[in-house]
Amino acid sequence: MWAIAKQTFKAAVRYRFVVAMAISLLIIVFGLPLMIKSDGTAKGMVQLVLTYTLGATTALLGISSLWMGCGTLAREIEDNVIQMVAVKPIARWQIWFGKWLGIMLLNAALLIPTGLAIYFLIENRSNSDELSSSEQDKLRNEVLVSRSQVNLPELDLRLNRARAYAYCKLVALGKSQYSPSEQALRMSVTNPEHILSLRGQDYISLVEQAEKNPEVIKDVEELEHQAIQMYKGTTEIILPGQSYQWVFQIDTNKVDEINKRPIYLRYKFNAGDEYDPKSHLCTWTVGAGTGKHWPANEQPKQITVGSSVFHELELNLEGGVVPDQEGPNHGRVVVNFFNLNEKPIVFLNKDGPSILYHDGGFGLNLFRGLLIIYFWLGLISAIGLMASSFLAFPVAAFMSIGILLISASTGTLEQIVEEQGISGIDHETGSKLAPSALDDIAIFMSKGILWVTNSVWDYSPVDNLSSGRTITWTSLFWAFTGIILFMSGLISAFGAFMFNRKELALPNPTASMN
Amino acid sequence: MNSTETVISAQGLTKVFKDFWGRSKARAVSGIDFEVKRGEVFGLLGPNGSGKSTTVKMLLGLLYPTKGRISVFGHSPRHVQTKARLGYLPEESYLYRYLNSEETVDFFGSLFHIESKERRERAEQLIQMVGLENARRRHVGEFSKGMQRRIGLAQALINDPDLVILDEPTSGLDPIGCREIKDLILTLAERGKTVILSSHLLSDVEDVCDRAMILYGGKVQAIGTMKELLSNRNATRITSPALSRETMDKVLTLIREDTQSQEVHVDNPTENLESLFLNIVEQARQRESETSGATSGHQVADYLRGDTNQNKTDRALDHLTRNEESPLNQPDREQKKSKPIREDKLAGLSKIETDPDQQPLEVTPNKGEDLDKANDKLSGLLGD
Repeated sequence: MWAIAKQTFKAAVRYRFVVAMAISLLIIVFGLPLMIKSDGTAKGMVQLVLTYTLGATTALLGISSLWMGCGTLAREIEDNVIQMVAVKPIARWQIWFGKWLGIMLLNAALLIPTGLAIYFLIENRSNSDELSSSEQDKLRNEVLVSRSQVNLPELDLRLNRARAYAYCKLVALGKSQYSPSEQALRMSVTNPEHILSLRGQDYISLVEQAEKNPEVIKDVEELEHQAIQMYKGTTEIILPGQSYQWVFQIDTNKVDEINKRPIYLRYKFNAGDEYDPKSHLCTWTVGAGTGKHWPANEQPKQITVGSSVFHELELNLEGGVVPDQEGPNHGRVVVNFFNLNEKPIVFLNKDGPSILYHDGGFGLNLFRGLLIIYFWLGLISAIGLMASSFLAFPVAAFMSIGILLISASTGTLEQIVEEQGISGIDHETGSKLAPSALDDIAIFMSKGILWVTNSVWDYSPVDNLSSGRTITWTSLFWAFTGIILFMSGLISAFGAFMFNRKELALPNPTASMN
Repeated sequence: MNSTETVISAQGLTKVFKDFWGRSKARAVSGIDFEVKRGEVFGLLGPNGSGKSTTVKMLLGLLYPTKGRISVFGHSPRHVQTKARLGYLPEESYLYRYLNSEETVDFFGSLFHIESKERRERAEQLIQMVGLENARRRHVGEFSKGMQRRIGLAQALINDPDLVILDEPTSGLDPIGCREIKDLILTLAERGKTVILSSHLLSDVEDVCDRAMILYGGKVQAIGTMKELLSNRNATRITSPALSRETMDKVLTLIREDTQSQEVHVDNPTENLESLFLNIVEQARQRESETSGATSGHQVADYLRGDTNQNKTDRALDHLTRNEESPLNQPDREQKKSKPIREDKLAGLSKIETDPDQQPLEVTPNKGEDLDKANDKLSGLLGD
């Protein structure tokens, strides 16, 4: 298998493919920064350089992996050279994996120097005499750094129908005194179940009808769905004049270390103006109820920023922002937001906010990021090889590109899932137009594809690197498991199976297998 | 292992090529049965499209039979360990164009898990054996067809295979190369190797094969030993030293009286064109030592001969006495070994080392030989 891998690598070298790729990557790494126009800050410039160089490198190596994947096997089959290998004592699956390993060797040979070039280029820029020390510090603290993220706890969106029904019945009784079991029930209900009790009579009636008429169950589900959405809304929407509080719990063992440097509040909000983002007043305080107040003058921090993009707020106090005394507030960072605008501000749960703190250097983070890109390249190579195991080169290339395009354009699939099918929605009533079995199939397939694509692309390292966020070893492990072991493994198994079945000496490519 | 061991067994072997929709397109091989024993040189004969190559590719596991069974060393042709005992030279040179000779042999050797040092030694011997020592650093893509065949042969023998499958091995080779291939086949067979020779060149098969199968239309038309296939039991040939006119008359009279027939012909035995050509080139080679292409007249690789520790004199002696020592001392092969061509070659090889100043042989066309016709044939052969 190793011999096949070396052979594949050698082919790329001898056909000058490596040279062509190396020149292209050099142009990307050193040429692209010359063409980029940033917001004028060193931080903005470095972020853009990182985003564009890493993005372009990934795209170029992705295309080359696909090309090599499709070409190396398909062309050898078409030229009959593979016959000479297949008659030697090596299993077909070993030939297949040898080819894959060869492409991965090639990717490593190209990605490692590219990564090093990016690293030294950026280090050189950040140490440039043209930058003031404050700009250099900003770069070191916000971009060329590895910062861990503390997120809010997941919302509890569970809704148990039996419990919700019992709770609605209890509320409907209008009692002021409760038995121990009733009290236990009251204490156990989740927020969505509690919200559901606001329409308790309707819910009780629908659940009882559903026992006799199963068709009514859809109405029950609709009511439950509304309760969940309403609860999510209460956690995400801040109306004009209202405030909202988030509590972040930081690992108490790390507090002393974290307090040595500034921490950052990372946030993004929407204000119903995604297509015309305007500036909005954001008013913040941190540390309410603790001994660590930020800003130090105890006045709220007011900044005016645009919606729909991530912002960072540096939280810096002498002795650190995070409470370091033993007790209930140890490691707890309380953040308050006041909406002093004239329109609601929405903080979507999936976008945070979150707290960022320094936990390492940029170099190691870049290394982990490059590894994730390397995993992607492995998957793309596997797709190309899989297609070429049973298709001629042009068809294999077409099929592989198709797979990549579908996986990259998930918007339509998300819409299908969101709108509960493909039959459309009556926008006046909000209800489905003639739902059919096709909807169920479309939802099932869309969810499946989304699950697969999300398990691959969710590990995108470029965004993390350009915003100085840590790519954790855990996420690296899961990326390896998901992208290489699971996805590439499945694709490889199928490709090797098809290659094993293939008759390698068929007189022409249109002849079929027996 | 013994000489009766069945190396290849095919029963009802059928191959039908189908189109994309599964419709039968061509029946390349139709229910053929045959067996090949260990140590045999087995010829697959037939015109183009008769099913020879399809059969070979099924033997190699590159095509799968539509019907019937085929086994190689008692296993499916796709059995990985069985492939370690195979050497294959395809009808075309399916090689990596960007590798040079050494890299090509080394790469294919590495697929047999041969140790690196051993692989290098074998590669060196094979490259010398196929006469490409002057082209070891040239890429295969730059090679002539003949040179590609030579390096193809080298890679086929890197593992010292027990079964060698040669598909049109002399295609694209000059007459010297053809002769060397035939010598090699005989050498391999003497070591108990089994050789399958697929060819439409009848002389190739006749010269080296013990048995042959003639295919036409994907079916077996004839199968048997060369003697069975070729002998004419209705005629007798007597060869003797040159006779006087009187003795000849006496013999003819005696034969005519005995056979009661006037169908008695007398002529001088002729040297075949191949021997003539080899002699001429051998003499020319002794005068001109430089060539940018493949060279000729090389020893079979030591490890293929199985005599790595013998010196060159021992090898020559061994060569001459090999018939008696061979465990497979079959009458047919003895007959082939006694042909003057092989001994001429041996003599030629020893002359290169001992007598470089030897004058060219004087070649006189035999009586009845049409010189123009011979020249035409020679030109045709040299054309490659």
